[in-house]
Amino acid sequence: MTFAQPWALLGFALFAPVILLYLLKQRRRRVEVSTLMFWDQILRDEQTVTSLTRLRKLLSLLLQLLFITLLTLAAARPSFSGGWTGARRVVLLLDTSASMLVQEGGRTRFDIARQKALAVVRGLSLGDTMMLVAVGAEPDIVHPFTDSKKDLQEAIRKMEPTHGETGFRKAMELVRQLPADDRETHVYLVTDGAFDPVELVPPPKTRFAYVKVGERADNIGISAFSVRPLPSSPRDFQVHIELTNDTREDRRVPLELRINGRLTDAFEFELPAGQSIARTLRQFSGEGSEVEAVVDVSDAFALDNRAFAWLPPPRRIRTCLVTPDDLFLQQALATDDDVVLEVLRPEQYSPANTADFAVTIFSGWHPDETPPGNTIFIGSWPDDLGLKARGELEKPLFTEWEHDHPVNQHLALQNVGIEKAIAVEPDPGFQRLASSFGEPLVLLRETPERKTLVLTFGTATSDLPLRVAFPIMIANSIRHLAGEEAGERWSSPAIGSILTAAQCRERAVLGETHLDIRAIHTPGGERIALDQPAALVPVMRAGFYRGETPEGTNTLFAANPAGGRECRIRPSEELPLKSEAPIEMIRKGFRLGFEPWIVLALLGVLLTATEWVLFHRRVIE
Amino acid sequence: MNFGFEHPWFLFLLLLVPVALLVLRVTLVDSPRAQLALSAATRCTIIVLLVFALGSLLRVSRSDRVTLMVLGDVSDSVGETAPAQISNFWAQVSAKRTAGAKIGLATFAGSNQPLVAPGNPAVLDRPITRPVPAAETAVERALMFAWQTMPPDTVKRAVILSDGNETVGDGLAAARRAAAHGLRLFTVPYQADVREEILLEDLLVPNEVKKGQSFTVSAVAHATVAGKATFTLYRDGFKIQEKEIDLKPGPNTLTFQENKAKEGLIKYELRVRSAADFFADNNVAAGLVSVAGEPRVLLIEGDERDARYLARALEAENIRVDVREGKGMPGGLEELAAYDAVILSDVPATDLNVRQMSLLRSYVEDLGGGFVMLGGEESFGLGGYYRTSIEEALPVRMRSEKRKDTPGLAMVLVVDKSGSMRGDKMEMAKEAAISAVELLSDRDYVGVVAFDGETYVVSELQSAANRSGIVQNIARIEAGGGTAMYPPMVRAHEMLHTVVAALKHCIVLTDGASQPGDFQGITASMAAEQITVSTVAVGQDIDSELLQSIARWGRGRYYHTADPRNIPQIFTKETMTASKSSLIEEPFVPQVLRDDQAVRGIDWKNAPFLFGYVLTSVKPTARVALVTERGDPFYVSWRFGLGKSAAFMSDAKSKWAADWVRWPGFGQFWAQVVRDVMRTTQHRGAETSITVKGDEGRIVIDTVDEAGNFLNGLKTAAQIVRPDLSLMTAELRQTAPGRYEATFPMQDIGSYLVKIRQSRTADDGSEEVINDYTRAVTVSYKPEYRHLALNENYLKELAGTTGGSYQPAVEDLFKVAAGEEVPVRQRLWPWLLGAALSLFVVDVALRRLDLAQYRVFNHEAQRYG
Repeated sequence: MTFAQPWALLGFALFAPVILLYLLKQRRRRVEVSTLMFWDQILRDEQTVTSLTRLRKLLSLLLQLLFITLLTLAAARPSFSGGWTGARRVVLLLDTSASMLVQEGGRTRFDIARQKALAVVRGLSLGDTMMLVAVGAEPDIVHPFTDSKKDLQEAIRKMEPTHGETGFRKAMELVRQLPADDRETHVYLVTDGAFDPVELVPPPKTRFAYVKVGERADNIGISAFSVRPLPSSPRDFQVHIELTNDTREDRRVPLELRINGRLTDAFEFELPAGQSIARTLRQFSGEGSEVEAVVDVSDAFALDNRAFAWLPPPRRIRTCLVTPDDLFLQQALATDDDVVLEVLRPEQYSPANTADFAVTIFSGWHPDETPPGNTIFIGSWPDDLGLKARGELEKPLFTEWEHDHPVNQHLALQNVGIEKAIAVEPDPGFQRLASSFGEPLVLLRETPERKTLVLTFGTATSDLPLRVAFPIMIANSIRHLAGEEAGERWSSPAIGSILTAAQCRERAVLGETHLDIRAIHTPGGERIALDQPAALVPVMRAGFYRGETPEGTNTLFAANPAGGRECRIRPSEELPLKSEAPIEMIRKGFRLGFEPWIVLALLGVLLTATEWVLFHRRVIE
Repeated sequence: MNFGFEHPWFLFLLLLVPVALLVLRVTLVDSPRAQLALSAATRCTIIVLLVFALGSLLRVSRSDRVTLMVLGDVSDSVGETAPAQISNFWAQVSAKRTAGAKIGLATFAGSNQPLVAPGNPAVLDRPITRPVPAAETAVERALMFAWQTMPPDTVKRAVILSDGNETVGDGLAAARRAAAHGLRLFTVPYQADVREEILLEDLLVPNEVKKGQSFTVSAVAHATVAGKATFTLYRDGFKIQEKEIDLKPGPNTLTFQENKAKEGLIKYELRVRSAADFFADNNVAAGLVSVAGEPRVLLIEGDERDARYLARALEAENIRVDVREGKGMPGGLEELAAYDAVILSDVPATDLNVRQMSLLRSYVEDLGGGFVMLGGEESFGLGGYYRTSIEEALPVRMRSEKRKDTPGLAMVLVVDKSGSMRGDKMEMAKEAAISAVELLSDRDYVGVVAFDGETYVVSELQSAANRSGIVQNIARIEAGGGTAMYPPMVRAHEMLHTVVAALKHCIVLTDGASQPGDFQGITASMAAEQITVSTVAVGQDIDSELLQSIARWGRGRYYHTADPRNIPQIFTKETMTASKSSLIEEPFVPQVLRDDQAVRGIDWKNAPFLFGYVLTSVKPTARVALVTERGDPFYVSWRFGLGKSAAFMSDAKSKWAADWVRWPGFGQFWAQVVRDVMRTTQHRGAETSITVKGDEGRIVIDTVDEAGNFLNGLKTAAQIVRPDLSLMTAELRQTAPGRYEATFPMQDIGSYLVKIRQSRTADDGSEEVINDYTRAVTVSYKPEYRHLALNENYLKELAGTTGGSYQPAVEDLFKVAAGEEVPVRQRLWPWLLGAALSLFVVDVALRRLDLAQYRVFNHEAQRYG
């Protein structure tokens, strides 16, 4: 037994005054009476009861001393080693993933999990400290180690499930990284276990318990949903959808596609039992629209019956084309809806009047000096660029190109005919994006100040402008140079991610204008003000996230419920951890739920009340 | 200030207070009433105090006391002075902390080392040391650790001293999560600690090469100071090259040429040695190359016996050769796909059917196969390849500009238009006739005679310059009637008899038995006038004996085909053969026009004579490497779709290349030709990104077709070869249109070779491979040793994201803004127990002492007494 507050043992010093008070002989009170007849009888009786009186007096003293002992020990806060009262370090991992929203008899799995978590907190005893971790997509320490059941219970009551997936793998890493402690570590996994078992190397002195939640297993839902602009036609989109039938029978499932809340198409899919099917739905134009897919089924898990996507409006890139006669290029640029084009003839050009453009393209003509800013030179370039011409290449071919570079994305350059190109000796800063038998055809130089792309052949001497690859290459180049990489704005942030104010504002572009976003409205109806630079927007719910501007609201992005594994809601029957070494389980058995001091103090209260009654009924002195 | 109870249900024990008071009504104690009242009050107070203690009375207030956790990065990437800098910073923090503030200290690398638990006072009683190993920087773990250990009832602050080069986990995400719970993070960079260091970046090697293929191994060496260093390249652990290089500060590029890799997975390792170096871990860069087995080539030779020269030469250069005769061309793409290149040597188009020719084209264009056609009397135009799929795949056209010194040709086409020719046969015959007309030069003459039971002059013998008119007339031929072949042959003879031409030729096409006639007589007459006659039989109901005889008598050739689609090849072959326009038979030595992989490194000056070649014309984007002395194209190549094809106008056997086959350059040239054109990989518009984060690799593939449309629903799998050469398979899941993703564990140092295969089920149920290629990603050493400079941006973002600051003044760490206070709950039960104990002594005294002697109690006593 050890004491947390040993100084309180000084309370035993109170034995002295109490014993002293009992040793004091009470002085008899002088009372005048009319006769001694009755007193004689009393005095005779008293002779016979003296020993009983002494016993009562001793009992009274012992009770007083017992009371002092109980309270002194309680104040010293004792603790005991051993299985049933030994202090523990407890980690409570409470699953907040999407599957915890499954309905189980009128309540969600999370409601049940919350009750079970509160029961675990109630079971803490003296010396136990507990850390509370919400296990959503990322483990989040909701409350660091504390012995305050009240704080833990309050924290648990405030917790809500997310729409994300389960991150027990990282949660286990958190457990593994706990600093060393003399106490045993007990890890409670309060979860439905509806995730793939997590590999674990059990840390020393650590035991686990699986507090299982949930019974229902059948579900049909949308396990993946996204829209993406086509590389060849950025205004058109394709929709990818994956549906999962985690039931034991084949099902015919109706699906509705809604744009901006209006039903635009309906489909019906045959879903084989226990399988997922993926489909690509038709292409359509609809930038700046909210897209929603709804599966019309009734099951225990309603969350994955809806999915969301956002078709971002195009960003406009101010582009200047300086050319005497490049109509092909002019036409290719004019068909790119994201490009705001201005065409200048060489005599109209000056560095000043192209300064405001994100990209300036020179085709068939070049200035004497490389202008500041991002530039594309086609077929010719200024001498100060660092590309020394050393002859001509006759009929070069695109023989090798960096498939994975953003400028070359989605390009098929084989068999492109080029009449002639300029053979060049590039400075070291140039990167070769495409070559003909080792001779560079497309070069890129990137410095912190600017990016420069060079085509060593002209559009007039190549059949490239007649190919599908040409507008794609020009579109890729302009976006890369302007820092507006194509394509990725369609992607949704994962549930569980936390966006900064800057990241939210990055998405708030309408045409050429960056919107003045003041706050974010989440799908849950919460308003998060972005007035502080450190404001954070946690993405915890599926749906559309909208930005508040002085003029109104604009959709910024959509977040989808975690699909894939979360659609399979069947609870695990066993601890969802696997290990080559045996995993020690928390032993069941009696554990003192209260701290010992409470027991001692409670005994003290009962003793003092009892003693009070006994005294007044003269059972004790 | 507020109060509350932790266990409020204990308050029901307050019911003991009225019970205690009720006891007074039945008391047998005769103490003065005032004394009794005082005693009761004391006892009730004790009960109340104890019950409040059991309920755990809390005092709730708000606190602005700060707990500051100092987290010092001691990973290997930080300088040697890092522990000293942490100590100094700790001393400043200790000196300037505000009253009541708690401070704690921990160092971290891959894991955390607690040094001082958060407290007040907090004393650092041991020196700060660097852990071994310290090859990771895990900011996320450090932050989670700090957040766990800080008392919950204080304002939380953490300060990270680091170089900002995080290698494990996601510190920014952890900072954002902790910030959402109120942690504010500050960052402090280490003072510059420049040390002499050379580090090697990733080794750049091709993912896949064929055995014997030459390739470049390159790497970038970063040096902090100028100096000499020795670089050694190892192949599978054996030293193969060594260079001493003067390095300049900054990046230095190194390249090595390699061509001796054996089959299999070959590991290349580059190591650097230098006196001016600190870390040994980053002196190595490794890469994996998949060296495919010996290239496999299918050589189809018109006469199988002639293939031995080329086959032997290629085999001597480690190229496996399968030889087949002309009719042995594979009939399926799968069979062709087993070869890296196909060589067609002097095989006439008539030995192949239309489907086989289409397959060969698809093999080059879609599967990326290599294809070479060699010259000969049965090759190119002479072989009948004009306007075939094979011509499309080749870098040359079969129709060449006729040279002025070649003789003029007069040719009459005698075409059967009987009723049995209806349908495909007639159409093919017309197409064949048109192709033949197109092949002739303006100096040639052509006439067309059709026959059934009657003879029709479709086009009088006239200059081929009037092509369009002749073609229109041919197009009007319609089938119908019987078969009388003799009269049209007579008519053809008449036409050819009158014209002046060096060469005269007649082609007779029929699909049935003719009415009788003096075929021998007319053919002999024609032969006497140097008019050659060839016959073409279509179908089964033919008099082959007669037609063969006519060809023999007419010193021409006899053709028989069951498939009418072959008729055009026969006609064009005949036309080209008859005109002799594309055949040059004279000795010459090839001249190098342009450097090319195929001709590089060969001693062309001492090359022997060749004795003949076929004349072709070069397509616009083709690359001419060799020409003849007359300037005619001799070796031409180009890229066609995913593959490459080449045309070699002479042969590789004892006819025209009789001297060449004995020349030492013969084998080298042909091996280089095959290696230049052969298939390297199968890759159609898939962008692949393999990123490494911590111990996890992520593969993202975007697949589009040539028209820029997404390829969806592909079965995509990655076979991953780990550094220990064990295998692992990852299925990639489609996550968006055209996008496929998967993650895989990457705990080990070394190269991971990722072989990606995308396929879909074709309409006929077979598997159609869309992409099959290899990517490699190498972790040469722990990322800890890669970043040796300060990552200021990361540290700024880390602090900024939590509302903290970069390089704060130490005083600022303890400043608490309005509204930042945190609720504090103080448990009062120990004090309540103490008070109850003290009162209890009073209570005992009230019971044991006779207070009646005091007036106030005496009065009461008298009244009760």
